[in-house]
Amino acid sequence: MTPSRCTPRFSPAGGSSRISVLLGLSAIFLSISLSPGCSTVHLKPRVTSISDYSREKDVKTYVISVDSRMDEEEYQLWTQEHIEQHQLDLNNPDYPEIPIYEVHYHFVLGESRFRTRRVAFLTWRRSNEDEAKLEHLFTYIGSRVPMQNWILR
Amino acid sequence: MKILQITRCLFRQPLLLLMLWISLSLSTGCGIIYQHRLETHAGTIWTNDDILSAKRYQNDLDWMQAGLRQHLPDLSRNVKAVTVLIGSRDSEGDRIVREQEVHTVGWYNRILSLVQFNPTSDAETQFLAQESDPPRHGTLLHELTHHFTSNHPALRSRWWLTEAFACYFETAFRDQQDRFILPPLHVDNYSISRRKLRELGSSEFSTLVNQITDANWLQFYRNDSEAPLRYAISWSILWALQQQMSGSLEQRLLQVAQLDDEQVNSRIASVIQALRPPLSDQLRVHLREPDFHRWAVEKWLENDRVDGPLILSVIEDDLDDEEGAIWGWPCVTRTVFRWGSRLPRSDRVKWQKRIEQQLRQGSLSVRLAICRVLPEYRRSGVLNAVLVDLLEADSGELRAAAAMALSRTSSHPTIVNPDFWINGSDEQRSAEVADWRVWLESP
Repeated sequence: MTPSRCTPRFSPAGGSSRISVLLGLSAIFLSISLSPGCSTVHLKPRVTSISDYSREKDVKTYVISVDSRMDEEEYQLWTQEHIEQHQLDLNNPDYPEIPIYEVHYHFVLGESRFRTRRVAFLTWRRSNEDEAKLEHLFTYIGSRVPMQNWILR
Repeated sequence: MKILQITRCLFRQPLLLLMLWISLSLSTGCGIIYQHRLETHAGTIWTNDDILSAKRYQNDLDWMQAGLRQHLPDLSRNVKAVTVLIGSRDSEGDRIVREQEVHTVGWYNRILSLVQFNPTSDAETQFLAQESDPPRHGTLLHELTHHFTSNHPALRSRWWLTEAFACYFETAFRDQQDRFILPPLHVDNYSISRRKLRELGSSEFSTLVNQITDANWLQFYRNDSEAPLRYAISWSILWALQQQMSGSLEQRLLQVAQLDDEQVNSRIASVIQALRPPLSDQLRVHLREPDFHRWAVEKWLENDRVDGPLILSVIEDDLDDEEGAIWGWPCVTRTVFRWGSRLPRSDRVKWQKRIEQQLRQGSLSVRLAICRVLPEYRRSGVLNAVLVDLLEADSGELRAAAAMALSRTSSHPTIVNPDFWINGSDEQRSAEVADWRVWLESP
């Protein structure tokens, strides 16, 4: 391709520089508007509170408030860490002589101070194979089923 | 024309090779992929499930085939053997249950006579354990119905009709005599269609029905949230229109199948009319029919409001013999201890006393069945004393069931681990029972 053939395809020099300025400005605008947005997307969901609603001697029930939904697998990872951190497979904080049979986690999304929405429910149960361990039974993602039906007893 | 013939010849060879490859891989590959091969009258089952579950599928498939042959004698005349591939379960991914998720649980290939279905995942089974009617092998029956019906010319490329036939038979159940009973309606599909009708009104609903009957393969089977609605409406059309036909069930269904799409669309008003009565009205009709009264009771009890006095009067006839009592007493318990049963107070108290008497003197099976369904309901607490007595029963299974029931009927903390109540030491269990008795006697 020769320059003579190329030249007509582009606008005159003055017009070209104006486009570059406009392009530059829009790139800056885009980068400014995108940068906080991207960082928000990458923020990890934050657990804002953990409440203990246990009713039985060997079933622990926790309601976990989060500020945004987690990825599906993260619920299991978070609860596993919680069990390990509090050694729930070994110790029952309320009844030390009774081993915990099940741990129930209700995750709720705190949309406002007075309004919460259930987003996930997990059950861990003492393993039949290894009695020293609690094993993940299932994760239920959703809010349609009333909370009383989530308690598997 | 000639070019077309040449193309066909060229095309036929790779097609034959492909078919040969598929049949070879099916005949040899299944043995590599699947652990168990079971032969049934209907065909071969391949599965990786444990052998006990596999035997249940084998038994179910024979029962399903006999049922379909009985209801569809003409259609099933030249049905070939089917190959059933049962998907593996219990992988870690199966431990997530997603609300309202639409996903494919089974498919059927007519050319290969091949059914593939995924059993309910362990997670779903656990989650739905409390439901009175957990899904069993409805998917297998749905796909097997395709195998029996999809060769009929009237069903070819008419996807709504193909699925309507499969939905029609998928809810069949075994009765006490092991018979294949087709319920008078598909409760879920009836409710879904009716809900949509109320939401859209007659005119827009008719438009939607037209869209569904006109849908091509891609439109009908697209995996979106509306897929269950398309199946439900397809079933509704077939169910409503076959009521206008005459003859045996097969004849009526095939008379609907013979209607072209235009004739079907001209009869949508009658489909809408058939969907007008509330579900409770439909169930009320079937409560007095010998084949359907148990089905109607169970389906009604899954709803919010029930006609308690009517349901109890129907159940009462079944309570005299042991088999009927094992079915009936849990239904009585679910009717009495619930909101919206419309039971007069005197009747409720009378039935509560009868339930308590069964818990004290009934057979082990009846006592277990009652304990397992006692709900978390404010009036269930009247049974706390008898449930505490059952914590000292001879049967460990009954002790465990009573403890579970107490955890629902009472706010007093207890131990729910069944292993404690079945295998725990007498001393530890006595201490727990003593704790309960102190609580019962406290003001």
